[in-house]
Amino acid sequence: MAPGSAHSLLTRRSLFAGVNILAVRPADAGAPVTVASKIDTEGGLIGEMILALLEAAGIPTRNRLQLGPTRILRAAILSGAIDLYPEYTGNAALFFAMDGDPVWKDARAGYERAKALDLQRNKLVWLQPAPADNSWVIAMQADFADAHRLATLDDFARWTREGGAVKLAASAEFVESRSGLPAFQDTYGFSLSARQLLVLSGGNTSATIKAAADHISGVNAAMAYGSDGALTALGLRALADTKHAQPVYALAPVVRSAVADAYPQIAGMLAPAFAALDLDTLRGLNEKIAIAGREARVVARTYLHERGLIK
Amino acid sequence: MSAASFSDTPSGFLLAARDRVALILALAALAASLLGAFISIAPNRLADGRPLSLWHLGLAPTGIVFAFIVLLFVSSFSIDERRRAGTLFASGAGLLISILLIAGSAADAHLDPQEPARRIALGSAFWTLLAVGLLACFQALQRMTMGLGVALALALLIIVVVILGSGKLDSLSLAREFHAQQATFAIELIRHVGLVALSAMLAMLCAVPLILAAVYCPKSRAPIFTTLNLLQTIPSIALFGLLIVPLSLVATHVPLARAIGIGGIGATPAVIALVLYGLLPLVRSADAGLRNVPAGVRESARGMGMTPREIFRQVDLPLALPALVSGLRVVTVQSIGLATVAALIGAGGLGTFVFQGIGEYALDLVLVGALPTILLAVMADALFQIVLAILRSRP
Amino acid sequence: MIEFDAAAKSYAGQRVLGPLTLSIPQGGLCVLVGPSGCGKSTTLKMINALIVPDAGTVSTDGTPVQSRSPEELRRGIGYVIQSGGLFPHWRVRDNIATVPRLLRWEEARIAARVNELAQIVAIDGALLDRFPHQLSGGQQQRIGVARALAADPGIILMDEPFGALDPVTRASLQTELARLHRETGKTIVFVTHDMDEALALGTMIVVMQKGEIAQSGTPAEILAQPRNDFVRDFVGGDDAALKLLEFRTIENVVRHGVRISGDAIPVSTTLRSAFARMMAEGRTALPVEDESGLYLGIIHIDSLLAASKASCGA
Repeated sequence: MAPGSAHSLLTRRSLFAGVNILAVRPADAGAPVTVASKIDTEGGLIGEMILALLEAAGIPTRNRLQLGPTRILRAAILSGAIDLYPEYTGNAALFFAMDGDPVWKDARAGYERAKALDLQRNKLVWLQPAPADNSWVIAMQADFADAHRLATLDDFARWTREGGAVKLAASAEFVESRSGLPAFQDTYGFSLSARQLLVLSGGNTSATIKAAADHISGVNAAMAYGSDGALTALGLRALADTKHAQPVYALAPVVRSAVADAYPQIAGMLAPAFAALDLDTLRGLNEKIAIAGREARVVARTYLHERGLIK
Repeated sequence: MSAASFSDTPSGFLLAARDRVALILALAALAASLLGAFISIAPNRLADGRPLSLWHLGLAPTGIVFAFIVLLFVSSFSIDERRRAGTLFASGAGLLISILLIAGSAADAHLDPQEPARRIALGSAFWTLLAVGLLACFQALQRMTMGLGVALALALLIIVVVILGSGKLDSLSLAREFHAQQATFAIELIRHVGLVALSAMLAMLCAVPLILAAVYCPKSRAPIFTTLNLLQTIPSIALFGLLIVPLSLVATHVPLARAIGIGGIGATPAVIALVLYGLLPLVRSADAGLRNVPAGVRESARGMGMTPREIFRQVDLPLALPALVSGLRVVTVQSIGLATVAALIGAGGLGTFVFQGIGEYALDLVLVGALPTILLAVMADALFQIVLAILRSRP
Repeated sequence: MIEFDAAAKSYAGQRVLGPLTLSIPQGGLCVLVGPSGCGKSTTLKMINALIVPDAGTVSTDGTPVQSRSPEELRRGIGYVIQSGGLFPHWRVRDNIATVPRLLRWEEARIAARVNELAQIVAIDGALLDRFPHQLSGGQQQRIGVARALAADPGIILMDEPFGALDPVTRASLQTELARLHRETGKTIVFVTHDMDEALALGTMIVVMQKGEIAQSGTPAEILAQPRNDFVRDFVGGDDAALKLLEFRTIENVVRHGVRISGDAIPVSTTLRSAFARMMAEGRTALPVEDESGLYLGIIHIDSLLAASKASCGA
């Protein structure tokens, strides 16, 4: 064999190895299901749960957890590069450019709307959602909040209007998305200037919570998620959203309909696990990963095992 | 002025050092181990840690580290070149090995079964001593013959690998983060190397016509270099992002493209971006290499009756090869770093850990991605240095 | 036989050479000489088609240069440039073998030829496995000559080959080249800006100025009858008379029959050497003998002066 041919074979093989990862595969029974998740704590946790449940059902899987931020996941599933990932119902407002619509503030109706739109337009199936509403919250240091008598966002708005020195750490998405900070400001009647914001480009809340807990750069309030494990661990408290400014962010597995058809058992496998994920459970599991530093894979499997969802 | 007259004052004494670099390294190591935290102990992964200096860890560890710092200090005054290189390497390697073992046993000692979330992280003193140790070793290796240098480097590498593999460091937060990612680490590492290798190969292919045009068609030089320079100024994250939309359109409208895995996210935009960044260093170095072929050599090749193709293959190409290889070296090292950003567009790689860690505010998880990236870059660089040394030893 | 027939070259509308008509005889060593920019290199490079004339023709052995493929043509013409132009990444051996390899000779034949050439240009065989940069300038230039001779071409072109060498090395290489030329009988075209080098080597000299031939002829002709002031200045003005003495022997000025004492000089001695000898010995006359040592007569200073005056044509 000529020396050149071995080399070109190797090149060609590695070329395909590189691109195969994201190739669209026909959704035959027997073909692995590519499971993905967002690049954050909860993405890792829920992704591992889905992997464990599919594996327990004997469905071959391909692990693409921690793939990227929301828009990357969405692009990936639309192009067929991934088959299944957990998404929040509230984000459907962004996908369909309907973020002013009140439907997203109703857990049931919002879910049904997202499910119907995605099935009809994109052949994506939303499976059973979790009861936890993982919407954005604004959290403050508990003792600081006590000292200023801040329990609800109404209190927060009043305090801000009266010149309270607030500095909020938040993601760019939270600041810019109409359902994020603008929704809070409109509903409760306050307004934060650019100087009162510390905008972090990443979407994860550990950094914002840490900033508020440690007063980094004068931050005393943090954008967080309702299910954040770090809140209580670092002495922060979420201010109550009494007027429901936020859309409901309920976690649900989203799967390509071709894959759902090839593996009809997926829906039944995932439903009980998601149905059990209330806010406290989710927060507790997240805390084990983000604070105690345990492996997402172990946390997910231990939990499912304890619930009797896997053996 | 003689060295002796410098010695009259304390600062003059320091100026009398034969090897200023080693002296500065020794002083940095001394300052770091006196002032900085060697490890820090935090109640959990997110909370801030309580710093512990080297001397808090006991007399023996402090003594050992200081002994090697003194050795480093002494080596900077050694007159004999070869002995100085030897002492420098011994002090660097000793420092590296001892701080690894000290950090591991200190972490073991501070673990508390009552507090399973407790994290023992490495502090600034550790990292400074690590950097000093590595720099001392590199300095020393550069002054040795290639054979001895490679042998010593390999020996040190094996010792470090054995220590890392022995489980002596497993109590450290960094090791725990690594173990938590162990299931995917190899996959992401391979993905990272694959991205770099694939894009370096494609960059070479794409560079060939540009190089030929730039060298043999003077009119095309300005537009080629202007375009490539412009590409280089686009921030990497922006370039990755810019590619998503057009590639998604291609994937949507060209079934064949989709079938072979071209899409708006994942490896395709990452590889394209890395190739685009790789073009300038490749074209620039090849251009310099080819233009540096002496005119007389090329003219005599023509005068001997070589065809243009023979001149290119037998004269231009071999003479420009060292420049080409050093261009490839730049591209490879640069791509290893840039490929971390590709994690944000779904291409995976070691950047996954970096961005996961940044998001979770877990610096040790960032290091799980960053340290292997640095190591890859250093190894690739060393490999190309060796290839270049071999190429240059044969004119 | 190399012939230029009204060959001309322009760059950007600016005529740099010709029209030039010139004939270089088979087996001659023709030196193109002139100041820089006079067109001597351009003329040389037209012979192996490195430069193609805009008008007129150049032909070798009756065949126009442009009627053949340039590569084929060049493989049949030796080419040596300043500083050798050796390939720095090839060993000396491979440098010498360049043209035989291009002509696809068998390796055994190439190896034999390389060893043979090393002897011809007086290069130690041990140097053959070195790289060019490990050789002295003079050695590199010998390799350059060996490379040009490798495929035994009928014509060798040399473009200021000794320009970068020190005077001692240069003189010895000039001697060697003259010997090589005598022994091989090749047609050599040699470019230089140094008139002394031209006089030392050439059987024919072409003095060039501003892209045209100022004068061509044998060295003695050029020295004795410079056609214009430019040639006269270029050959050294009044020094030309001294240089000319180099080109004539005392044979025709010996006074037969007269006998004086002292060491006799051979009849093949040049006028110049005879002059030098008289000055060295402080005598106005020297005894002369023939090749076999038979006493012929004397040479007297008056005869020398008369002869040199006559050959200067004044």
